[in-house]
Amino acid sequence: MKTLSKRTYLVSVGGGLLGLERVIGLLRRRRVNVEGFAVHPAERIERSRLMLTITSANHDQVRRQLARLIDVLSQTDIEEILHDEAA
Amino acid sequence: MAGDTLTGAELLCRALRRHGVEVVFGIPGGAIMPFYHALGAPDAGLRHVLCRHEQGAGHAAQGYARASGRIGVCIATSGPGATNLVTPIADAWMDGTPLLAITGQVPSHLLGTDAFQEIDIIGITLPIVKHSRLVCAADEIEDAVSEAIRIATEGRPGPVLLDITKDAQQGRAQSRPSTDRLISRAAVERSRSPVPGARFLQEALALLAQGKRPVVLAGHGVIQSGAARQVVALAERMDLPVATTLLGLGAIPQEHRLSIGLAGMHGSVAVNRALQTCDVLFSIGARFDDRVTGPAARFAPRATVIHLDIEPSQIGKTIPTAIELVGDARSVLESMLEQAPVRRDSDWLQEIEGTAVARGRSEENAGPGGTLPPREVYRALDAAWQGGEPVLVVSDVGQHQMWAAQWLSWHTPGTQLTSGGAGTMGFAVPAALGAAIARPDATVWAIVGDGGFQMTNQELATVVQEGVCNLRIAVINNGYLGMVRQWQQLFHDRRYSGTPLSGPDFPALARSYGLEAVAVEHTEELASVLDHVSGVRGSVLIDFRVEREANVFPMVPPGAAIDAMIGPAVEVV
Repeated sequence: MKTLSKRTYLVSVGGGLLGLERVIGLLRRRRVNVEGFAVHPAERIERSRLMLTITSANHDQVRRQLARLIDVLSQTDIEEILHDEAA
Repeated sequence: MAGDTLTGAELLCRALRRHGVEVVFGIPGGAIMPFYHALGAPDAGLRHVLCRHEQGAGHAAQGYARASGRIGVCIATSGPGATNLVTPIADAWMDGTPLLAITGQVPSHLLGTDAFQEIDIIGITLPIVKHSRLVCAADEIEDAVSEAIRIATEGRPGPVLLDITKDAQQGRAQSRPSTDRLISRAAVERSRSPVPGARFLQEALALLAQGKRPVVLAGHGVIQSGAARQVVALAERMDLPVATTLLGLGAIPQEHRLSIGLAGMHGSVAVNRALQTCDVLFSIGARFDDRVTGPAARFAPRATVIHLDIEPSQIGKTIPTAIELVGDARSVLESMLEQAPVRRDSDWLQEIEGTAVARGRSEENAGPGGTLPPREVYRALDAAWQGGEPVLVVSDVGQHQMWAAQWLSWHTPGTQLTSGGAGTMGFAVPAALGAAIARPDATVWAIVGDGGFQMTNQELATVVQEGVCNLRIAVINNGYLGMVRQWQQLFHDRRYSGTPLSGPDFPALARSYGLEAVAVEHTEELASVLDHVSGVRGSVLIDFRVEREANVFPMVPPGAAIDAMIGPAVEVV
């Protein structure tokens, strides 16, 4: 079995509040363990930047489920950003 | 004509037509009346099928979609009209059916005020749509339709909801038709195009080639992708036994030497044993539903799993996967076939065949016979369908559905439509209506229990009003909610709580709607009744009054591993 790990993602969400509602609903129904959910305005209207911290044994699956939402425009693991900056 | 404006409702009709929509199923009401006004114009170019309940309209659109391979469109007004579409939307979500649900909504200035028939249908359906959009302006409508149809049909198909306010339907805008068709075509190409890298295909082929006990599990994706021929070709090249899921029936002709049958809760013992003892499992367009796998941790414990699916989130969701192949089944299999080695096998195939012979098919295991055993009904139906015109079978949910899966001969992909993932009783009659409209060249048989029939039988009126002549409705009437009664018999101390079921005189009911109808109570009558029915020019209902307490066997008890199957003589452990 995979072990639990905590990760933080930056997710760009379209569709305004409806888009955020879709993300929240998905996380709830798939029983994802959400530890942090911080929403920031984005440059464009109707878009949000979401900082999402989750603990999961299957991050791949969570990311794939998020990717099914048309309003999820991009998602990036914050570790990858930090890693890229360090390199 | 440049500069002319059209109403939003007219633009909606145009956009649907431009995307190839010919038939819509629905019921009018206050908030969707502008659309119906446009629909009623002589040049609207869309056939409207007036259903008797929005749930019927939704299932009819699903049946139309699955029988035609095109998008199904259903229409309802706001409020209760919209909420009545929830079940078909959920069903389309679970089974991956391309469905466009269009609902009227109160005028935009009344949104959020609890106005008459204002219900937040977008909010209600959030978990069961691929996407949804509230449209508040006429000039958004064409884009919204293009986007909705693209999303509903690409990748793993599914339902999309457009909630269109009344003022958006009444407002005027210029038609901008130039881009959406291109978008739509590009999207279709895109959805077909992704093929996994050659390395993964080679790894998958190497695993299959080296496997001592490989099994292919073919699901609904094979049917939807049109990949049945490729599945059979790969199986033949590599001597791979092919099992199917419920919705995958027909992916390989049942009489093919490599076809081993149905997997899962009511699958065959030989197939479930093969799955539990295989060393390589190649799942194609199947999503490892728990009705197929039983407890995931105990499913196919020795297998290295290769999973081909168009929807990445279906891979690795419940069953750990060694090789993922994301893409359209037909395209990926065609690439695999270019490099697939020849593999020859006899031991493994013989072992599976040996189990099948020793355990028999389930046919004689159904329990008490009475004057009309269900087995005899299906035997007669199957015989009547051989060699004639094309037959589509639309089954509902319950015992009769599993008997259809087990006992009918599935030769051709796409000839079975049923509610798989959602298990929606009431699906069959309206879905068969939609299928019959989509496929006037075929005879469409609805097979439905007396419980499910009574959930949506009002659509018999639609059948008659629309002049649908190619529909046959077989009511497998045992006076129970039979599958629940079976579980009560086996797992709940035979306490038949809430399952005995009365009903009207079904033939009399059907005749009152204007159908021809007949009842069958004895095995001896079957052949002559079916012979008579084949010559009837209109739609027909047949009430098969079968033995009341026949069961579906073999069966995997809930919670057990799938090779722990029981039959009528086996105690539940």
